[in-house]
Amino acid sequence: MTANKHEDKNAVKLHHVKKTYDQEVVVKDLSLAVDVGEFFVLVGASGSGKTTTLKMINRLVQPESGQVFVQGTDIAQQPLNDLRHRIGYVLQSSALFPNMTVFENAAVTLNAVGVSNKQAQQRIETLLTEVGLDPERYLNRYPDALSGGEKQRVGIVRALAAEPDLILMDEPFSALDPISRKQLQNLISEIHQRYQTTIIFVTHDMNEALRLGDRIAVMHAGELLQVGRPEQIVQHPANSEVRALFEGQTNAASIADLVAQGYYQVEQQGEYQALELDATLSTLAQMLVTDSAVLVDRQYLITVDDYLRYMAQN
Amino acid sequence: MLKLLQEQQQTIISALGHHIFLSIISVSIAALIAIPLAILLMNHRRIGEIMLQVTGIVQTIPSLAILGLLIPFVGIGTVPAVIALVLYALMPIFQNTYAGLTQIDSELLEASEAFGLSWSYKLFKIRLPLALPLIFSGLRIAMVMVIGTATLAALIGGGGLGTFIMQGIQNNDNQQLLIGATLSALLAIIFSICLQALSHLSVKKLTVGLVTFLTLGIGLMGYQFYQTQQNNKIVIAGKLGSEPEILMNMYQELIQADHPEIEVELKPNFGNTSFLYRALQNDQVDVYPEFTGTVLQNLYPQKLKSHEPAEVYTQAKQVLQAKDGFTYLEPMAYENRYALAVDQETAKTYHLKTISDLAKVSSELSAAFDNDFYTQADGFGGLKQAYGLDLKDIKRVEPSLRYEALKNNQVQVTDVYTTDPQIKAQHLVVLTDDKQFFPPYQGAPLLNARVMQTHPEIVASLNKLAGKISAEDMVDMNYQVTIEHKKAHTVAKNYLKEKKLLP
Ligand SMILES: Nc1ncnc2c1ncn2[C@@H]1O[C@H](COP(=O)(O)OP(=O)(O)OP(=O)(O)O)[C@@H](O)[C@H]1O
Ligand SMILES: [Mg+2]
Repeated sequence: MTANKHEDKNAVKLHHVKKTYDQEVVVKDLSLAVDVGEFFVLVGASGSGKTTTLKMINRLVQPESGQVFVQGTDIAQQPLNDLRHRIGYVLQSSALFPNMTVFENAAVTLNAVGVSNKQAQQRIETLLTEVGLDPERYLNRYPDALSGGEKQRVGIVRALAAEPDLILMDEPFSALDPISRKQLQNLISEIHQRYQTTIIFVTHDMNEALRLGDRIAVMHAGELLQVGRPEQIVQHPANSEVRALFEGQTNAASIADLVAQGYYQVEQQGEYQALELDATLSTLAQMLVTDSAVLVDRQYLITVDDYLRYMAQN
Repeated sequence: MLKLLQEQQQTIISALGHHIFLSIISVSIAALIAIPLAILLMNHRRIGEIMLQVTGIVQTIPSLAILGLLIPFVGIGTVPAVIALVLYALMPIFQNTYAGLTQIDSELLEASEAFGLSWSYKLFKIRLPLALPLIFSGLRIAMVMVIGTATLAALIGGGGLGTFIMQGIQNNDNQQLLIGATLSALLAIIFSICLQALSHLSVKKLTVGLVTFLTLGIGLMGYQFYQTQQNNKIVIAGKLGSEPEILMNMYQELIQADHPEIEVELKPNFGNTSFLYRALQNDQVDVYPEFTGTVLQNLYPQKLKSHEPAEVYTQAKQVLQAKDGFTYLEPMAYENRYALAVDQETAKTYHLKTISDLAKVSSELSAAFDNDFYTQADGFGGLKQAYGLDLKDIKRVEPSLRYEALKNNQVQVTDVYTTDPQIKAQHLVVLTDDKQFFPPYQGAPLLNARVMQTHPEIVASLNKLAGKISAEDMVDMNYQVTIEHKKAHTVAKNYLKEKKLLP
């Protein structure tokens, strides 16, 4: 084997990994390197092998051949739980344990590595505040009493709690409404900037990939079609399949982003023109030339003033 | 009903206590088997499915069959009852626990894997708590079922509320039946509520509680079991009711008067004759009083060569010796069988002493009969033909209502058992079965081969009762125990002293 023993600048390296289910090859001889501190996004159609690839990194899935390195060490050569304690994991459904409070959920990994309850509480309180949940109100709640977006915020806190080297996220926001999705996208961006933790993020939303990724890997039928920076992929797609995937997608913000950041009014008396959340900002701007306000998604009233303040901030 | 409750307070409370003990211990043992088994098998689906089938099949075995199979191995009393109940309780607990553990959302399991949690953390902090509601519903189903089924313990002298139900059925006494059934239903409801309340405790507290409780319970049972296993003593048993209990006490007194060194243990209230007989075959019981008629009609059914009491006794004695090597000692004087009775006034007015006397005037008289007596071929049907009875009117009523009807002179004739304490209570005159229509039921001690070998000296002591105790004596003693609520032991001892059978 030619694997290099010193892979220090790679947070994760997949080396010719392969996985077959029921005689069907799901991941074919895949090699990939993710840099330390990188926000790495894996996109592709449903069934293309994204989840399988991701799970090979924390050994939820065992590759048939090839090797996986995390921080330069072959993961097959180290104790399973030691590896997993260093890797955060966020699932599509938040998968919070319904029999535990927000605190207990967020502290599972801290518990497992033997951090005292007091220290754990401090850490969780800080993180909850950072994801926009007031610790006093949320610490002792049960998952039942949380909205989808709140659950996913707790899921992120749980993944971050033990200060992992790496966080794996599998379509974490795809079950959320567009506003919450945008809010959480912004949140994860901020967190990534603050902590510089390596993140591998799976999605099949190309727009999300373009907004978040430092680099994007495009998967199709168990193979990588292209790996590159967002603008590279949009401007120079490797082949027609990649082009088809990203056609018409820009990383330009939509109205949802504006609403997500709170630039709207709840007051809604009077007659307004209506717009959907996924409309572009330029459509909104055109309408605001003639009207003083536009009603988005039947509930958010966006005025000229809101628009201008948003543009000034971003 | 209230009166009965008050009079029997002591017996009811102790039966209730024993019933609760039987139920809790059985469900706890079943839980301690079924829950770990489900945990063990939760990751081995194929074996798990097979276990589901097995526990289901166990449930379909009739309780009588299970008890019958168990007697040769573990004997009689509490232990086989608990084993049978545990077998029944396994299924609902295993099924629910298994379902609870295996139906947990796969994403939650994946998350617990991905966070590198330890085996015990995953089990005690995640899987078991998530399965807990289902586990508790299994426990509740098991508990309700076991409380209902625990009445079967009475069949093998295991005590509990079943004793009332059996006694009620046997004596056709609806009040006793009602007490047994109502209390067992109430218990089921109360326990179901208690379990609901317990289901909010943590897994840790529950485990600790269960283990402590079981250690105590099994220790207690083991002690009882050990005691019954001590071989040197003689075990005297008896069926349900006051009469067998009085006789058992007489046997004990007579044996111990002659041989104070012999230890005697009494096991009253066997609800089922064939189980008692099996216990005798398996040396779990050494001596019990049995009726000649029962031997030839129920245990080894065969045609009676005659209705002459002495001949029936000889026939029974031979059968018992041939089949099981048992020794059937000399019978007592009285018989316990069906008879017809009238009130004193009627007896006087019509000069009634025998059933033949009654036949002559039967068209002027009405009767109230127990339903069983009326419908059985060896009951009223045959009797009517044998004597040519032609009663004016026949009512079929509840046993307790018969005496009301007699008092009000709505009827004049009724059926009774010849040792029925009501004969004394209601001042009835029993008419002699002068044509010997009813097969004779004479009581005598039945001994197994083991006791004949180890303690042959008791035969002489027991034979002191041969030819003793008239029907009137027995009626009187039954009256003292069932109506006046004297202790069977006291009544037995008094009688023996009075007849100079005891010093
Ligand atoms: N445990 C399994 N057993 C059998 N086949 C599996 C298993 N897990 C995944 N597969 C198959 O492997 C292929 C890739 O699955 P994977 O979950 O990696 O896709 P994905 O890219 O994450 O898709 P999606 O976007 O729908 O989540 C699919 O065809 C799937 O049916
Ligand atoms: Mg997937």
